[in-house]
Amino acid sequence: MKKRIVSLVAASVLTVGATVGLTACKKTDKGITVWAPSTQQTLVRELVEEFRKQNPDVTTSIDVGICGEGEAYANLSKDVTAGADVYGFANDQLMNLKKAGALARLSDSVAEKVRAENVAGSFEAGKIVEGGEDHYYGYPYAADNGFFMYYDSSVVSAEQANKLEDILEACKAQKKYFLFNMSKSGSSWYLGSFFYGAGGDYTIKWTGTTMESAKCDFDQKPEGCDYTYGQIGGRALIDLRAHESFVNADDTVIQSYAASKKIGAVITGTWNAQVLQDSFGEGYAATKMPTYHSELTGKDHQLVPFVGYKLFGVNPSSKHLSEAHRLAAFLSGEQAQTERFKLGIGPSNIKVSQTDAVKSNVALAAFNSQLSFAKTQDSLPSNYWSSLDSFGADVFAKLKYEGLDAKLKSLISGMNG
Amino acid sequence: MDNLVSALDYLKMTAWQKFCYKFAAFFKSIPVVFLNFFRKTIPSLAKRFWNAVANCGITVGRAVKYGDWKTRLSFVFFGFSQLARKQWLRGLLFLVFEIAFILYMALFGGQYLGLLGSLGHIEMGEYEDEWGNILYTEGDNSLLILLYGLLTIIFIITFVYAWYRNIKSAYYTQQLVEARKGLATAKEDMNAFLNEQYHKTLLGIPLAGLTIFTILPIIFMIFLAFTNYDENHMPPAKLFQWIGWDNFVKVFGGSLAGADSFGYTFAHILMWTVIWAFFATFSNYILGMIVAILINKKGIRCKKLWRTVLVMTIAVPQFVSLLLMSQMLADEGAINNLLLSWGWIREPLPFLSNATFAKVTVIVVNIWVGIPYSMLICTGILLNIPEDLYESARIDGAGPVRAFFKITLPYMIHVTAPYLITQFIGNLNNFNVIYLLTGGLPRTSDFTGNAGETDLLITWLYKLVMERQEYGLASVISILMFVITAVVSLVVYNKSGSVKNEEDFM
Amino acid sequence: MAKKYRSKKALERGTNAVIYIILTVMSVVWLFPFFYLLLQSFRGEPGAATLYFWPHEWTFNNYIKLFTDTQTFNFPKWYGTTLIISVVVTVLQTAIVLVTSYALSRLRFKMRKPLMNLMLVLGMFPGFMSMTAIYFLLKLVGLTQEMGLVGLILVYVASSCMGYYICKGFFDTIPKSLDEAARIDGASRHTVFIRVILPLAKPIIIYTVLTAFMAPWGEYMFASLMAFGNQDYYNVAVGLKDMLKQETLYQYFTRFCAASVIISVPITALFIWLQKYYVQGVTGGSVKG
Repeated sequence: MKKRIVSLVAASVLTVGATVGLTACKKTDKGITVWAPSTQQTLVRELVEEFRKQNPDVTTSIDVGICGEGEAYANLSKDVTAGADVYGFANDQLMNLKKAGALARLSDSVAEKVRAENVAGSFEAGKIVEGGEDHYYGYPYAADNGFFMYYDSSVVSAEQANKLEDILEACKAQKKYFLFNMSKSGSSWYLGSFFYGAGGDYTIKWTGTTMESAKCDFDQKPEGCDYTYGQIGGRALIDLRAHESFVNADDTVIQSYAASKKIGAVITGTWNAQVLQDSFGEGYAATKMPTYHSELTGKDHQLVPFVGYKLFGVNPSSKHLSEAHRLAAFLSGEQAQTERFKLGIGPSNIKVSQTDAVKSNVALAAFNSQLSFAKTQDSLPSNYWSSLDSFGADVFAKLKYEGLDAKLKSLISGMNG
Repeated sequence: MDNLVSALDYLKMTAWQKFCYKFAAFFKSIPVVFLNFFRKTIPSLAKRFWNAVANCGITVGRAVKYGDWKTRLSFVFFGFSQLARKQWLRGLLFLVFEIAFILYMALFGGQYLGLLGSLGHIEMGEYEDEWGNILYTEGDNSLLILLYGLLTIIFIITFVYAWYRNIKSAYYTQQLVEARKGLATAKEDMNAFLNEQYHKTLLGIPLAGLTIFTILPIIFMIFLAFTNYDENHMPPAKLFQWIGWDNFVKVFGGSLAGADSFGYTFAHILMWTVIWAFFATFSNYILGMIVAILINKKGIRCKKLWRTVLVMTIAVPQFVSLLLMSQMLADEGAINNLLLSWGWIREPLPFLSNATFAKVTVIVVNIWVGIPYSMLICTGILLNIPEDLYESARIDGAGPVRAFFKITLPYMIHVTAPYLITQFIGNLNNFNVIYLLTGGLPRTSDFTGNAGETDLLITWLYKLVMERQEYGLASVISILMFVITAVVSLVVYNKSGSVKNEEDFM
Repeated sequence: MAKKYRSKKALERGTNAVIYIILTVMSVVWLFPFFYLLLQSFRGEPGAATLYFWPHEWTFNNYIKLFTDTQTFNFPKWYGTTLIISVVVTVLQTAIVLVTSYALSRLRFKMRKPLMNLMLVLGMFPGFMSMTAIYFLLKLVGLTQEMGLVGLILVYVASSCMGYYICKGFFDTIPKSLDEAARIDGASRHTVFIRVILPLAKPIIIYTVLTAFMAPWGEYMFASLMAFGNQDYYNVAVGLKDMLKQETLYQYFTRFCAASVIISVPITALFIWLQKYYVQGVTGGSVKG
């Protein structure tokens, strides 16, 4: 007598069927959605209004949603077709976004125009080589995604700020601290700077979006030296860990130390500019990454930071592809970047970055001063991050010189993936 | 009783020993039950299933042989026999179901079913139009093919079953008419829903929800374990394919001893998961019981206030309270800062950054999270202990301490055994506390797959999926987890008092 | 005799004093995070959690701003959304749990035992692994995006029958003779459920309501998937997590704390008010001899 179950199932099948039919017929036009981080919501809404004024022929509706540049891939990978038509992303997600089918290519004429307007690195950050040709997948709009050093000039003098050892001593003398993210969440972003500073390198060979091989040469030795890049950088990290003025810091710690006015110098990025300006007051200053001295080579090594860019991507499953491209171009254009700079976001547009206002911005000046030696942060495999994260945790757990080689070995094998 | 000790010895034991004994016996019985599951349960289930199918065959055969033309036409047109004999409600329901199914298959299900074997052929395409714009064509989506294909299979099974019920009912109706017995009217049919058939009324909607939202996704996930769905095969850009047992080989293939293999990481995380579940469960239980006893002691005032204070912590969402905890407990956090400034310690205590320390910390914080619950439960039981038990103990001259060990403790242990076991299983899958407090940190280079020292299997799984898009591998691990926890919990529930004594109160 | 009596009384007083001390210390430890949260929410200076406990500058602004400054983060809207979700989920989930438990406790049918085992086991599966599948099933019937809230409620409610365990235990303790008496008087099973069992089930109903009501306030995973970047569909957990992002942590942390306090107050009140029933419900159900 299970007819009733059957009839229940029948009823539900019927509802499902009817709804499927209805939604299939309906397929209403949703217009264009733009994703922007929460801090830029108001700005992007205004820019969209401006875009409408300048392009009266675009009649589709335009909505603004929330998604930080760092989470673009995490969000889109859930369902590309339901994602935004235009969205901001940090350039290290380029390959993954492309692999997920979330990036539409710029046509050659548009790419030419974007190239002419933006600083070289920012435009190249959206490049994927496919079949021997350079293809571009993003409209750059920000060049400030990196880290450098802020310091309190009443604690650390401009001259001392060049050398890590001097900074640490200056901090110690005034009972202040040097903050660096060694093992907190996201530390791998910062840790590489010690090894790249020693001369090491990490290279990935891409064919299209396929990673052919990853090569970490931290086990190589610089010319005329008996120690590897890994040992040079690793020992410097161990020394830093042992110093009493060092504090392992993520954003939360930076802000709590800033509130207690305990910071002498700190390695972080533009997003903390306000925090540190409030804390340092008159002494607020920023500069390039310092150097560290290695006993092994007898030399000073310049810490090499990552540099990343933010770009607007266009979703290939957009129902309004050409309008979406136009909107992305507008949102990353000169006018938009001028407005965006007022929120403290560093422009990638050449004209905007040449204005006096940008040049006199302490944090952006520091960021730009290290572009000549910084390493562009490309798409890196998750092994890269997890291996360095683990290494940082090991160093922070008071690794000794003797234990270093074993940890370096697993670091390198992990990074080679 | 298993034969760990003789029955006589057992009777001599104190309550605590008995409890320990039962506990040991329980764990000893797990492998046996596990084996029995494969040796007995599965064959017996298979046999029962086969018998049921055979019975259905016989019913259908009878309907073919003895059915009149109305019944036989029901083989193709659902409900025909009932409609022809004026049993409108039943007949109509069957007919509507058939039409709905055919529409579903024709409009939607058919296409996905056909692609299920290959999971799609056409990838997303790119082309340039005459003005140099880059445009895209939609390709097959392996994920949707697999999911909607499975959905269609579930509908087909339902359809076949409905077909069988339809024939059985058609023949039954025919027989009733031939025997000149009255057919059930639509009203009688409806009334049966509230009486003999009441369980179907009650369970219909809950089970439909369960099937669509839990069972189907689980089947889907089991199938994913046999595909190469990962960050290089992400729909809709790329297709993914069936790859057989490769993911299982990857999890178990590497030697368990060598670092950097999935097997090594899996084994270590599994071990910590069990240790964590054990300590998290018992620390909460014992301490919760003690707190409850303290509050309930005669002569303690403001009982309600003390309870309320503890219960308040339940109301703060865990992602807030645990976030604050993890910030306060950090090396640079408020607690270390305070201890340093008081001069109690000379350098920060690595509450969350040292592997061993962090493991202790999460268990301690879990006590903070869990005691309010276990305290409430123990309070309820304490209040239930019949007062005359204590009275007679007092007359026998027993002090409060002896009364506790003679009466309170045995009663508590006896009564709360099922609760303890539920908690243990819940803690095996306790995502929130670990994820929100440590996120699995600190990391170690011994582990692979982003795993950290305090990661439980479930938090590791979350990382594999969210950070590395290793859907295939993650599915393998969740299948393993599922088998382990499911078997343990089935054994426990079916052995525990609450199931055995189900009828006691009736 | 009198002396012994007095010393016993002294001992009693001594133990009570010790117990009071223990309970006071515990209360401090347990309330400390809550207290810290409260202090942070009244802090005037911006920034993440501070190392000092007493704010340098006291303000009520964090609370006011939550409701007035809604350009970037629309807290009142999230709160309303979550409240709606919670109420609907509570009603539906309570109904489903009661109905399932009653059927499993009182009715006898062929598949009862296997069904109980099945439901039990299914709950052990990691929920987030099902997320993708559920999302695309909902998408199939148009319950994502604009209809996301309906989809979300459906997800929360759909599998709630798996939580039958405690409630069924409670029903098991209600004497079966009550049903039988009613049956003899000619009541249908349905009438027995509505007229006899439900009136006796107040504690377990309240227990179920409480647990069902609390869950959506902290749920993040499904809520963020269904909202998919659209702030109109955020629940409080998704919204509050957004406040803690790199760019907004400095400006919004104190407001985050204020919001957390606002969320916890009604739940705390509810809990204090209904505590008695909660205890009766849970002890009547999950644990019995």
